[in-house]
Amino acid sequence: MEIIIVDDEAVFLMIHENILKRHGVIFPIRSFLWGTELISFLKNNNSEDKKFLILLDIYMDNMDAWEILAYLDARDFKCKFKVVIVTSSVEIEEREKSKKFHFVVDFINKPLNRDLVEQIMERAHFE
Amino acid sequence: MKPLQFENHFLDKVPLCILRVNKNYEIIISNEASYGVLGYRIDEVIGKSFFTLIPERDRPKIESFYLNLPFSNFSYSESHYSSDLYSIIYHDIYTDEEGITVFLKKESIKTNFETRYRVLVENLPGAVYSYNIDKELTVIHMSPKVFDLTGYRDIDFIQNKIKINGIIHPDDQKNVQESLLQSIKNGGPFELEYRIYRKSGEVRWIKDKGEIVYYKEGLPSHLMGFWIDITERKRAENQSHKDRKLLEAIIENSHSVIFVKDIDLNYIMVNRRWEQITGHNRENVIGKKLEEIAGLEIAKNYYEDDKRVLHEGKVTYKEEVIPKEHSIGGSVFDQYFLSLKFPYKDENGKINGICGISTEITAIREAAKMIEEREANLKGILESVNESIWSVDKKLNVIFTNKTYFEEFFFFNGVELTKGMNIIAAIPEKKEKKKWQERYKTVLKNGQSLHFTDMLKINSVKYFFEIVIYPIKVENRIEGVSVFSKNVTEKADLDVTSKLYQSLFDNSTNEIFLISTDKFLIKQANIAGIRNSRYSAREIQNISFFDLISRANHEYILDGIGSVISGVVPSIFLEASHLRKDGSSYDSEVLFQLFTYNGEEFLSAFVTDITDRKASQKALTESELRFSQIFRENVTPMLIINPNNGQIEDCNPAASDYYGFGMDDLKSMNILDLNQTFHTSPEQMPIVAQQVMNEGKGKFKFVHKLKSGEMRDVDVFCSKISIGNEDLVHEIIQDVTERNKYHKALEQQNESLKEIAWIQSHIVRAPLAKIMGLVQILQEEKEEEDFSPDFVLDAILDASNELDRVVREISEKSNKARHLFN
Repeated sequence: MEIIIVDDEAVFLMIHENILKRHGVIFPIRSFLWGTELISFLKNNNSEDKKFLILLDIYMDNMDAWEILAYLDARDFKCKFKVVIVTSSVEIEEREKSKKFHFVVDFINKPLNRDLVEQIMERAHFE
Repeated sequence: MKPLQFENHFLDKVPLCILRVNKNYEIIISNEASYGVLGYRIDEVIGKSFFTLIPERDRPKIESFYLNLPFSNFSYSESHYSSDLYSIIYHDIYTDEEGITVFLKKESIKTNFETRYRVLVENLPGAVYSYNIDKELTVIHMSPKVFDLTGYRDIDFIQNKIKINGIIHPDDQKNVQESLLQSIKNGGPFELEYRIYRKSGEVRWIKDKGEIVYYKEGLPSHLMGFWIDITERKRAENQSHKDRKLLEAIIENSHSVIFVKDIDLNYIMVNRRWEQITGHNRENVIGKKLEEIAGLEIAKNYYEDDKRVLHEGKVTYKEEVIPKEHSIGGSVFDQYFLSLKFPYKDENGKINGICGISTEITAIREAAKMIEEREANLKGILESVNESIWSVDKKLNVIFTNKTYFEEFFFFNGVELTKGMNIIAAIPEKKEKKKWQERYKTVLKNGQSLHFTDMLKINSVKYFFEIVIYPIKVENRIEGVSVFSKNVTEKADLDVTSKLYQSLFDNSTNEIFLISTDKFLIKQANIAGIRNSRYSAREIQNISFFDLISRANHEYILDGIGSVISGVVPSIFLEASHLRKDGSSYDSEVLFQLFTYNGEEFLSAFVTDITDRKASQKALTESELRFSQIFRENVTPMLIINPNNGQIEDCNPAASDYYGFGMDDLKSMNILDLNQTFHTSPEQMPIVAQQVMNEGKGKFKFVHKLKSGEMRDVDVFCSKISIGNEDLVHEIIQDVTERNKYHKALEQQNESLKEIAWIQSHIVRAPLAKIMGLVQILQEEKEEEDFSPDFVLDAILDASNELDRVVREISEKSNKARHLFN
C-alpha cells in the first residue's frame, strides 16, 4: 500500500507526512499539491495489484475534493483505493456529503495526531 | 469378514459399481466405484437399504425379479434413472437364493442423447405421437404416457386397434379435420384444443400441438406432436367464464348505479343503470374522466371523495341528490342516492382504482318525508284547534298536550306540563287531583269514552268545560286515554253585561290588574296578566302588586300611585321593570287609574310589555354607537369605500393623519388616488371589490401613496358593511413597510451569518490547524539533539499572522452585518 496526501498548502503536506512517519506508518508516502496530479498519478498506476490510501483536503484551488471524488466515482479504476477526507472544516454538512462515496472511509479534522493516525490506518485496511 | 478383503480388493478394480444385496435388501458388499457412481463411500453404502439408493418407482421391478425368479440368473440392463447431468444404468442384475447382485453404471446425459430423449419423452406430462397422413392415420409412434391420457395402451394405437379419429369427440371431429387440412396446406406448426373420449367413456379436453413433416419433394409425410390433458384448465376457464358472465349480468342488471374508475379517474366500466341516470352511453364514457363528460364544475364535487378513496384507501359513504329539474330519466321526484365508494386493489394490495355503487333510496326518503309531513299535519291540527287536547298513558304520564291545554293547565295550576310528567301529581288541588284520577281510571278500566261537563270556580269566577275522555286502544289493549276539553265558560249563565266585561277583561292583550288601594294586593288579574307573570290563577290572588315590580322601581311607582290615589292626577303612565315568578324581568309601561266598584275603591293597572320595542331601540343605538366609536376613535387608519366607483365615502382622523390629507380632502378623493397597486394594474380593482362583495371580507397587500409622495407597503383588511340600502367596503389600513424592511434586513443578516460560519470553519480553522500540527511536531522533536526548530517556528509565525488577518476580516464583516440589521 502507498499513502498519498493531497493538500494545496505545502505546510500541511509537511506536517502530515511528519506526523504519519512519527507514529509508525511504514508505507511509502507521496504528496501532491494539485488534485490533477493525483488523477494523473492514479491513471499511470492503474493496475490491479496497486493499493492506495488517499488523504484528501477539501478546499483546494484548481480542483477541489468534491470534483476529485466525483471523478473517481464515475470511472472504473483497476487499482484499489480508499479516501480519508482531512479538512480544517468542522461542518457536519460536508461530513454527510462525503458519506455518499462508498470509497470514503473516514472524515477527520486537521491536524492529524496519534489517535487519528491509528484510526485511519485501521479504517483503511485493505482485505 | 476377513476373507472378503481379498474379494473387495479385486472388486475395487472393476469400473462398475457392484452392490451385493441380501434377502432383506440390505447392502452387504460394495466396491470403490460406489463413490464414483452413487456418490457414497463403501462404508456409507454397507448396511443401507438398497431402496434408499434407487428411485422409488424401480422398487416393484426389483422386488418382482427377486420373488418371481428366485433361482435363475437374470439380468436386466435397460432400466435406468437419471439426474440432470447423468443417468445411472442398471447394467446387470443377478438374483440367486442368497440375494441380488447389481451392477450399476453411470453415464453422462450429454453423451447419451438417445437416453436423454427417451427420458424426456417419458417424463412429459402428455403423450408424444407421430402418425402418417393417410386415410387410416396409421400411428408410427406413440409414447407410453398415452395410457394416462386416454386409458389405451401405446401398443393399441401402434397395432391400429384404436384409431385416433375414433376417440375424438364427434362435435369436434369436423373442426379438427379442417384445421389439420389447413395446416397441411399452409405448412408450419399447429395447435388445437378438442375433446376426446377416454376408454372409460369419460370426456377429456386435450391440447394437440404438432408439426407436419414433409418429404423432400414437398409432399406431406406425417404428423408429429404431442397431446396434453387440459381438462382441468378448461374446467377452470369455463367456471371463471361462467362466474364472470354471472357477475357481469348482475352488475349490468343491478338497479344500483355501478362504475369503476382507474387510478387516473378514467372510467373503466359503467352499468346500464349508470347510463340511464347520467344519460351518457358507455361508448362515449369509457376511458374518459368525469370532467370530460359533465364539465369540471360538476366533476369537482366528486373528485374530492375519489381522491380520498385513492390516497387513503378509505371507504366513503355519502348521500347524494339529483334534483328533479336535473333528472335525465325524467323523474318527477328529487332522486336520493346512497353512494358507496371503495378502492379496488390488485393481488399485491396496491390500489388500482375506484368502484362506486350508488343505490337509489328515493322511496325510503319519500316515505320518511311523508311520515314527517303527516306528523306535522296532525300536530298542526291539534295545535290549531281552540280546544284543549292531551293524552296520558296507563300510568297517567303525559304523552302529549297541545298548546291550548299547556297554557290552560299553567293558567289554573301554575305548572308547566312536560312529556312523561305524571298528570295527577301535577295538579296542586287535592280535590281536583282525586276527581281527575277517578275519571282517568274509569276510562282505562271500562274502555268506554266518558262525556261530562266540568266546572272550576276560582275567586268567584266560574269556568265551564265540556270534556270527553277517549280510551287509546292498540290492538284491543288500552294503552292510555286522550282528552278533549272545550272551555264553554262564555255559554254559561252570566248576565249579558258581565259576560261582555268579563270577555273584554279576559281577552285583552294588555295585562290588567285590579289592586286594592290600601295594601296594593291584587284582587283580580286577566289572563294576559296571569300568563306573563308566570304565576297560576290561584297563586296570583292576594299577592302584592309590588311583588311584580322590581325593587329599584318601588319608590318611584309608589310616588306615582300616590298622586293618583290622592287625586292630584286622574291617571298616570309609568315605565317599570316587571318581575316574573321565575325572577326574570320585562320592561313595561303601566297606566294607573282609580275606579269604584260596588262602593269599593280599586286601582286599575294596565300593563304593556315593551321589551321588544326597547330591545330593538337599544340594539340599534348600540351598534351605531359601537361602530362610530370604533371608526372615529381608532388609532388605526380606516376608510369607507364605495365599491362601485372607488369613492372614499368616509375616513377616520387616524387615516387623515396617516395619509397627510385633511379629513374633508380625503373624503373627496378616490381610492385610486391612494392605491398605487390599482394605479399600475387597474384591472385588479373590480376583482378586489367583487371578492369583498361576494365573500364579505378579504385581506390584500397594496402599495399606498401618502400626500408627501412617500410609498408605503400596506396590508388592507376589507369587510362589507351595509349602510342604509348601500353596500360599502370598510378598509383597515395597516402599514407594513417597516415590517417588510425588517424582514429584508433579517434575510441579509442571515446571509452574512452564513458567510461568517463558512469563514469560521474554512479559513480560521486552517491556520489554527497548522499551528496545532506544528506545535505537535515541536513538542516531540525537542528531545532529539540534531533537530533545528527554525523552519517549524517560522511556519508557526506565518500561520499565526494569517490567523490574525482572518480574525480582523471577520470582525469587519460582522460590523457590516450589524449595520445592515440596524
